[in-house]
Amino acid sequence: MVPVPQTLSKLSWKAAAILFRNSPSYSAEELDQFRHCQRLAYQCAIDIGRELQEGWTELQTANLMDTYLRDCGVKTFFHRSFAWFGDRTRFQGFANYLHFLPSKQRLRSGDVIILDTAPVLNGFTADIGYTLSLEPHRELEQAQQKLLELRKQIPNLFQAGIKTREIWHRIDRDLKADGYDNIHSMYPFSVLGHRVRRISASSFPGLVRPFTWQSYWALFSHGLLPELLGPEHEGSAEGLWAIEPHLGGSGFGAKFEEILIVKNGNAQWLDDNVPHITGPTRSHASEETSSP
Amino acid sequence: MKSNQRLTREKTIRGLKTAWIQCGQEQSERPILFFLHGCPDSPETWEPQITHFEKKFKIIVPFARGLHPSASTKDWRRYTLDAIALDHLEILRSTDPTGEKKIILVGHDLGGPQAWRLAELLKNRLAALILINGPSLKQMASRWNQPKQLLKSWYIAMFQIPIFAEIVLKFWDKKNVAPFLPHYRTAVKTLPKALRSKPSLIQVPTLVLWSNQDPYLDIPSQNEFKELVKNPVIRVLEGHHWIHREDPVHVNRLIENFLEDC
Repeated sequence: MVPVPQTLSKLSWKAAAILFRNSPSYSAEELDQFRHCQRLAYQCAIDIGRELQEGWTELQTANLMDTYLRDCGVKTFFHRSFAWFGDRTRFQGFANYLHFLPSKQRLRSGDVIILDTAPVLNGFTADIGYTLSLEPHRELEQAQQKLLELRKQIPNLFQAGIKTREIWHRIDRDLKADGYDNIHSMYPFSVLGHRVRRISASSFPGLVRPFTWQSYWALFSHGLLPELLGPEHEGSAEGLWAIEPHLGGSGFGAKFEEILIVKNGNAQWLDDNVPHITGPTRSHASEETSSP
Repeated sequence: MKSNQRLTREKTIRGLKTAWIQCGQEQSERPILFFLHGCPDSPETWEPQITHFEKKFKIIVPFARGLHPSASTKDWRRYTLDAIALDHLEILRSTDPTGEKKIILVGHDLGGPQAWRLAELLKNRLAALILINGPSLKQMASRWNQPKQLLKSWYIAMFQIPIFAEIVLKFWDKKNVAPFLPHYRTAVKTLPKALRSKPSLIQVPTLVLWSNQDPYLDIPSQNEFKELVKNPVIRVLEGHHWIHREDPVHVNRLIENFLEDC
């Protein structure tokens, strides 16, 4: 049997290679704008995260994140906000796309929480993921350590010239070797990440929530599959990537998501000022953060 | 002491200057009393209550969005109940950084829907909810087929007409209503969503005070509150729309007794 996704991916990559010979290279000023948008998205996740109370629903939380971002000048989204609580952070029982959408599931004591949002600010996109809990959670803290290890490794893997699909498989093996499940394999197209580009700032909601027409266009106009870093990925590694390793532990999932810059074979994170490095991972931690 | 002599605090919240009055007992072990005023009022409308309760409680009274010194904006989304609730949470975060203090919400008129929305988000931090002629947006939306309420709400329809409403308010010398126009316009925009919504049941002790001669709001039925509040205490008082100012002694006593019973 012909492996259809792989064939499609190769065809798509070839088409994309003809149509879009160069991956976009962004100036320092443009990267500052991407960074500004990413910081806003993380600030939103931190600020909403610290207000979370038992009884909030995923939907309520995601809507408040969208409200927050719109108040801060966001006109459109690559995708609107997701919030997952408890065992939904490891996509337990997710059988179709609709299950990914924020639900009426209420936050309970002891739950792990994932907040994921992708605003577009003045045409610059961010896509972030933030994992936290209301209370101390030992297994989550261990999982966060594992994610930090991955964060260190990932730029090295890109710099080593390893094919992108092999990076996907290495991370998959690494997670499983440490007893975790690979939850990003459950995302549509099993993506470990996706390319990030500048996006038109006007707002047209997409047919499939929470994505917008701009996000469809950004992906499809570049051949779709080369834009998605999945297990069969073919194509250049150059450009900006929103990398989102997502692991599954016992009854919970954890992830981070942030932009990686790959340029001329070098790779580095867009920003080290991200909460999984510097900030609180407990919702009601006492650190003061400033409102934008 | 008038509220314009009280400490007004300001903070830029999500890009907009936001102001509130803060007074009373900073170190009080009791919950924070959080008053939300209506249209066309200012924090000063709560002066009789502030004077009465400030010896025992820490008190916070925000200026409504758009009411000086709280900044206005042309972005209607900033007047949604969600956006206003986020502002209120940030004010609470500024005055109680640990978030450990319980909160008693008191809302009148437009402050009513805002109090309802904030109550939903405060969850376990909410100690009590007090509403004075202040329905939730869901309640107002569900009154769309009640002719008496529709007649009483004629002004809300008039407020929806851009430019005309501003001219009428100027002509009638009701300029103090102008900062509240975006609140009414946004509320109407979001009414269909409010009608479809299913708010979570408020579990904390809730006191509803309503005057029998309110020219703007019909007296709610017990039934209206069934889906919204568990065991509300409802009192109908003799008076018009601003009973907390018309009969402050009575209202303060009712609030005090209610809080003692909580």
